[in-house]
Amino acid sequence: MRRRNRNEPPTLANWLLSKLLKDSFHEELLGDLQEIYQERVSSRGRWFAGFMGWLDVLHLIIGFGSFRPFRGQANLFFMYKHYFVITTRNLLRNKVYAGINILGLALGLTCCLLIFQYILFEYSFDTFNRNFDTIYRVVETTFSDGKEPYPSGRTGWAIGPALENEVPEVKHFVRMHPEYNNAVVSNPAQPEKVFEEKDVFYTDASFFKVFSYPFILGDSTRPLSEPETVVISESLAKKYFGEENPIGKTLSVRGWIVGTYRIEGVVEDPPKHSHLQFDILLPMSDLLKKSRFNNPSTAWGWTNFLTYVQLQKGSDLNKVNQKFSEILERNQKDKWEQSNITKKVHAQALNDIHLNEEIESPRSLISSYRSVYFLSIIGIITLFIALINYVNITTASAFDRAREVGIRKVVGALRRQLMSQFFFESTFTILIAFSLSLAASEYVKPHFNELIGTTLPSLLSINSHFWLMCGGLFLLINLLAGFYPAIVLSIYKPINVLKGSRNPSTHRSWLRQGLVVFQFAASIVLLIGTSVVYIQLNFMQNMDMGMDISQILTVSAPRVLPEETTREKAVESFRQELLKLPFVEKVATSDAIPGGGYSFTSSSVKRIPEGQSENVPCAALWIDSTFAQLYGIELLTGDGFKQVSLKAADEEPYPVIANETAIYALGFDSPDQAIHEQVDISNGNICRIVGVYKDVNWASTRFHRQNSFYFMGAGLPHISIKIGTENLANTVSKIGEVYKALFPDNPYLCVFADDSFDLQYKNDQRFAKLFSVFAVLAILISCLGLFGLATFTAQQRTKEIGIRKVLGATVADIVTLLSKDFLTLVIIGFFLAIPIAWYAMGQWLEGFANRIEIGVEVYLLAGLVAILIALGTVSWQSIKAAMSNPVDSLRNE
Amino acid sequence: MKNKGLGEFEELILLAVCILNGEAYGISVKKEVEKHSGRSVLLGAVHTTLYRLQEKGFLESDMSGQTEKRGGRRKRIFHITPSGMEQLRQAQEVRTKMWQLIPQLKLGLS
Repeated sequence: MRRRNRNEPPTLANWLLSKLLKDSFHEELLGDLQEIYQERVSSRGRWFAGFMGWLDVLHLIIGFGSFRPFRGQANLFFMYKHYFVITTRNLLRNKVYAGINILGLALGLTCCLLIFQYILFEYSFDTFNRNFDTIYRVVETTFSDGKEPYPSGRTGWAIGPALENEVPEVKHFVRMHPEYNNAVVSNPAQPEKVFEEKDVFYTDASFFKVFSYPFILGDSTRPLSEPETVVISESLAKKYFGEENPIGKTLSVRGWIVGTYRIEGVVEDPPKHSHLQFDILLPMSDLLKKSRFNNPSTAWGWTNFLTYVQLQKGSDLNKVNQKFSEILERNQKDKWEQSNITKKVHAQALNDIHLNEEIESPRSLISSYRSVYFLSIIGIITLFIALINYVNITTASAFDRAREVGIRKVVGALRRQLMSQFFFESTFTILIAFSLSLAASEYVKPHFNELIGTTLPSLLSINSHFWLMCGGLFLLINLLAGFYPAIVLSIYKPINVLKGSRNPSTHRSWLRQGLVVFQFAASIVLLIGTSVVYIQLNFMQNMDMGMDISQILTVSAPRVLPEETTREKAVESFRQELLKLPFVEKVATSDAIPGGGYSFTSSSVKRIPEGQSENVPCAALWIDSTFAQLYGIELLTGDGFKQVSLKAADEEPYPVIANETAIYALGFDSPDQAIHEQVDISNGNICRIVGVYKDVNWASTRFHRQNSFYFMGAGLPHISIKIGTENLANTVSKIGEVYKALFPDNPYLCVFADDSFDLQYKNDQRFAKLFSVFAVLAILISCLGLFGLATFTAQQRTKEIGIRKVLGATVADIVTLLSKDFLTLVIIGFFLAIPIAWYAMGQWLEGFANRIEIGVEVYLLAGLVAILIALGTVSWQSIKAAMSNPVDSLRNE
Repeated sequence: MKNKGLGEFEELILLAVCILNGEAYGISVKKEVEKHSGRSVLLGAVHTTLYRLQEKGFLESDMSGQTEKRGGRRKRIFHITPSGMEQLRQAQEVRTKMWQLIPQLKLGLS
């Protein structure tokens, strides 16, 4: 770019002047400006000269511009007042059209505004941290042959300190270790206050240096640096201490480690848009005292920690990633060679964590870019359907305004002025719809929150971005909806209009028809989508799981035990007590309940002797000997755990029961063949297969059944109770009484197995509901538009209908005549919708291991529904027109 | 144009053009007016007034005199027309006539 000459007046001002004024003025005015600028520079300095230059330019523009806002001949105020009067008159005269226009737009906009807020909310995650742009999470990606790379936010505990010591770009590191099995927390001063808490983390003292979670009480300078101290959230403080000041008091936490902690600080609850949601923060140093962490081999390989780093401003991420990877490789190389994998490390931006579902992130609020995109698309479609209504109805009813346009033109209105009038009208209508939808979006926000599963802030507390986007949206809608009608309306030739030739803009109706087709195609796609989602969901929930999870209450085993007893003994006595209750049929224990994951998963199980099978991944779960019976899991072959003593279960080769899938994955031809064979699970645990279970869907039927192995144990942490009565509410409290009597210091945590299993479908159900809401909205708005068009056509053809009736047409004839055109459009829309829906829903179903085939009937049903609704909408007007007495319509000629 | 009369500012500008006699363009007129009236005047106001006077037929103009100072651009030099001169004279006459009718001044003179 050319450097600005020191002696030139402000460039932008000059440019403005040259754009706004006629060429003939340029030379002398620019010349004068430059001359006076130089004089001013030398007498009063550049700043003054620049300022005065701007002032002069503006003055000249106002003085010489062809537009003269301050001295025009016409009085703009009166003109706009006139527009306003005409607009309101028109709206009031055509109440039906106006209502449809405004209502349709408001509906579409409400959706759009809510989705806007949702998108802003999702993208605002973690940005409240002052240093969010320099904070990263350390992500380790595992590469192994023949498998997709697996990125995970889990790391070992040693990588954080190593990064800080060896990479100069790293300012601070923070490690977090979630309490994976939750913790039982109590206030020692008030023993009745005992609850299970899940948002418990061990973390480093640097936590508050890196993240910005403000303190309410306590010393914020060096929290968590001493052992046995704790920082808690505001709501947790309220829960355990009420209104008392908790600082200096103690809190007993029984998690992976058991201890009593002195409260050093209370912080505000983490904001809703924080991916880390914590209630209790314990010192990392206390956790690392555990003997497990003294072993150097676990320092890198035991990946249960989250590591965050704060980098220096302006660090080169590629270089940093490379250094990180080198450090991990140096420390892990020999391990990788054993199991034939490699790992790479990269730094993931803090505000990417929430939306990036590709990376495993334990204990974080995760959404996905996909769902944000999906909702944006839905929002745009709904908005478009609403805009189409507006354009269609406005242009369709344009002929009503033709005479007005004609007169205005004859009197001397320019096309430009007419366009600005119609622009004004649409702006006014849109403004009404916009304000309505702002209010409506606030009103339905609680329902929307429930539907999406978020907590959107209210409009009052929303940031300025939203209002900026709103302004942009408003302008965009104005352009899209206002431009075309303005052109159509202002195009009429006065000679044609005033002569009285009635050819309403039929030549332009192909566009209108095209838009209707689009509306209905979109609506039908959404309808088909809704039914596919519901059918799939229903299919998944009613699939044969291979086990029966109905009427089973699951209770967590006690964690706080009386002295001199073990959990095994405690659970056993609980079981004995339970079996005395008349409605309890069976009691079993396991390490997890259906839908609750496994004891551990491993990337490697192989047959012994080696070489007989490939390494396959597997999952393992500890259960006790009655578990399978209770859940009705069928033992296909072998003795199962019946003949196995607890002592034998703890000795190598461990007795295990495999599932069918695992047996076939390991290359056995039949379950019988596998009995008494040995396998090596997770490198070094030799196991002996003592039975084969039929496959069960331990996790959501969305996923494939995994290769699973069951180990035997007793007194495991989850107790399942099979209940033989229908009166479930009563049994819950009865069992609770038994529990509290035996384990008074423990919270009684129970849930029905089918309920907790169905939690896995919550997201899918939400998705289905969301889909159906939008489908209904789309259909509704489209029908509103159709209704408007039908009303209009019926009005246009009043005389024609009258003549036809006089000549002997029946009501049915006329209804057919009027509805035929619209139905054709809907049917075309239907045929357009089929391939789109087929493709889109096929993509969606790809994500499910067990999926339905979309039958023809789904398409037909959706099409039929759309056609029927459209027919109902149109025929209302058609019948009304057809029933009218021809005398009325023909009389006034 | 209904009003062929001169406004106060218009009169000042016309006078300045007369004084400058062939050297009158935007800036020189502005300076001249400022020098004699003692108030500061915006360049835009001068330009618009010059053009208005030209429209009324009191001034005529041509382009000439490019200088380095102006980035090689020419100036629009304004000249007074006979009707402009006539207008000025009329204004002057009206004033003189009215001045003479002020009683206080007569008293002061006597």
